[in-house]
Amino acid sequence: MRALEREGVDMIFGYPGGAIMPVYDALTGSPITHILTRHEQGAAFAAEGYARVSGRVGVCLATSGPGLTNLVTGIADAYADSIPVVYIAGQVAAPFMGTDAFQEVDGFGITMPIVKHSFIIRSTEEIPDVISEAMYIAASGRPGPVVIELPKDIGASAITEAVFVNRKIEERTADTRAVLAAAEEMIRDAEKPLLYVGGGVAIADACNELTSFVDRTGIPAVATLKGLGCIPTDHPSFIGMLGMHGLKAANMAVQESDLLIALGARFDDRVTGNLASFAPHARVIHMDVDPAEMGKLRAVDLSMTGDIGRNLTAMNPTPIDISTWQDWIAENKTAYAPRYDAPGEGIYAPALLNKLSHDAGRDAIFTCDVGQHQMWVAQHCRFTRPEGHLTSGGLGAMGFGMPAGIGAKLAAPDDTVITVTGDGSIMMNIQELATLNRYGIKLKIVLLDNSCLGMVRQWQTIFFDGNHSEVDLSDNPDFAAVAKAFGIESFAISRADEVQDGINRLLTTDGPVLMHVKINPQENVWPLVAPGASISDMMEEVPCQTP
Amino acid sequence: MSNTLSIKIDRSERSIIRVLSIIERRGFEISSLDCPKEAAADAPRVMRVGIDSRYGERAISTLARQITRLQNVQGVETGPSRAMPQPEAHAVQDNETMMMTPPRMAGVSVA
Repeated sequence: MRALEREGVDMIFGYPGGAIMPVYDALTGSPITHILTRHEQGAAFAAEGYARVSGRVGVCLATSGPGLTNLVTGIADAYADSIPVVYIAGQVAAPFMGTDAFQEVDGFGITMPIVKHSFIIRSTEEIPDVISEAMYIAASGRPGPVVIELPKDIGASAITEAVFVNRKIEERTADTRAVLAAAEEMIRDAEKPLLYVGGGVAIADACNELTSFVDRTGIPAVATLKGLGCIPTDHPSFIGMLGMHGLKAANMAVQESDLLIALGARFDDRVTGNLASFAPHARVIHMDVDPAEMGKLRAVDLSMTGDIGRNLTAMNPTPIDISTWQDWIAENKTAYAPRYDAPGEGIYAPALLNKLSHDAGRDAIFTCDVGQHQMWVAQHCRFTRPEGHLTSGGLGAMGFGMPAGIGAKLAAPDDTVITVTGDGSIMMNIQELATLNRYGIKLKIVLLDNSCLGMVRQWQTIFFDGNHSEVDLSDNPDFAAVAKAFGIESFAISRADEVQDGINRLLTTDGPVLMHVKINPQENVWPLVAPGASISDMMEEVPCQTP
Repeated sequence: MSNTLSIKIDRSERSIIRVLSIIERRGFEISSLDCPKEAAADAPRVMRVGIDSRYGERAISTLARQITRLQNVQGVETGPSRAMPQPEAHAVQDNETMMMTPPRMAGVSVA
């Protein structure tokens, strides 16, 4: 605990058990706040939410065996989305390792493919240095999860002599002047330049520099799911999210562009669709801290691995005249803007989310789970900062939303934090309602209930000839009653004319609250690019008649 | 296409497995492996790994960068030759011998 305190850790998330008991024994004498979740996966996701919003390394504790295995989805999520979290798991006492002892699993081996690095502590004296190195590795370069296994006997031994090592992350520099000049020339030569913004911009803390660059140059921007908020979504040069469920105007711009400036993005398949037909006319400038992303999927004309913010500040490609390009994009933004005028008396989820986002204020933080509601949040809510949108992007882990919201609210107690979830997703970690109640965490939960696994149902409708296999959840519990049983205020709405009152009640409730929203089970997410298709080929449909 | 990687690794826990694991995970089959014992117990090891792509055209340069970013890797050289790693880095190109070293742990001081 002393080593964690020395690293500036003030909050950890976890769940005790046999092999980690020596650490929990020391916890009672530490100023570090421990948040006891009701499942290790909840702790893992909460630590991610805390890390994303606080800008610090998240820390999570669990025991050996099932404690470690319950962390695995969270560790994989942190790896996929490059989130700095140190996971400390107990292990059976060193003499018993490798003997199939009670609650022994090879946590080091199990997690090896989903960590940035991992350690097994082999002596008590190593503890301070390993903790320090783990925190450094998690936060430096391209961030990611680090796992530490601590055998019980080593955790229980007293340290007689501790040597602390100071590790400081050096500030990154811009690319060389020659590289910057080459980028400026490519931009000046382009008639249809486009910024393709990924989550790496947020990790580089380069959002202000990005917005300033856009203001100086007028170059339009699209963003990935993880890049949302890096430039305000209501900025006139921002088109929208690109990719599988991207806005049509955004995908059209990508396909038409002659220069794609990828910033902290990795050409993910959910973004590119058919890679061979993605941005077919574009030269590519790729800025990313991770050299391993350069040319991984798309050939690059200019690689830039310097600091994104410093690069954007140092680049001055003006004057450029791209007014024809800007006008074409503006026309498309207007022509293909989302509509919220669904007919009928039922609740149209995109309209509710759009209104909620407006009423919650520009700086509200949204966390979501995975599925249709996740895409609706990305499409219809507005974000002014990247930490305003926490989502399981790379892994797509249902159950992420509520625990991530817990971590986010604890990191920013004065901010409005809203978790948008679905009836499938919330059941993955519904036990964390007890954590909300235990600590009085003022998280606001919007549960969009279509009584099915909506995204799977939508794909089965479109791609499996309507063969709806194992997606029916019509036997869901009464979620408002469940929340009440956990001590959480809750209410339900089911008609469009109840939406405004529901939003008002949600936002004004001084405590944890759940709004259960019944929506049309047949509603789909549009537009949609079929997997493997070109993002030029967007499937579209008008909103359903709500019942 | 067959290639040979020469990978310099430290002696941290399961260093060899970590490297071999990422090679397989990134879509390459290990066709040969040579990991001679170094004279000094704390000296870095140099592994030589023969690989073939499982999925057709996958860039060896990308794999080399993915190996290089492992914390326990001190350098990677790729190419048809079986030469030992050289100390200087240069630009990364497929189908030619290259050497990469990770830029990390700068700014570390002992308190």
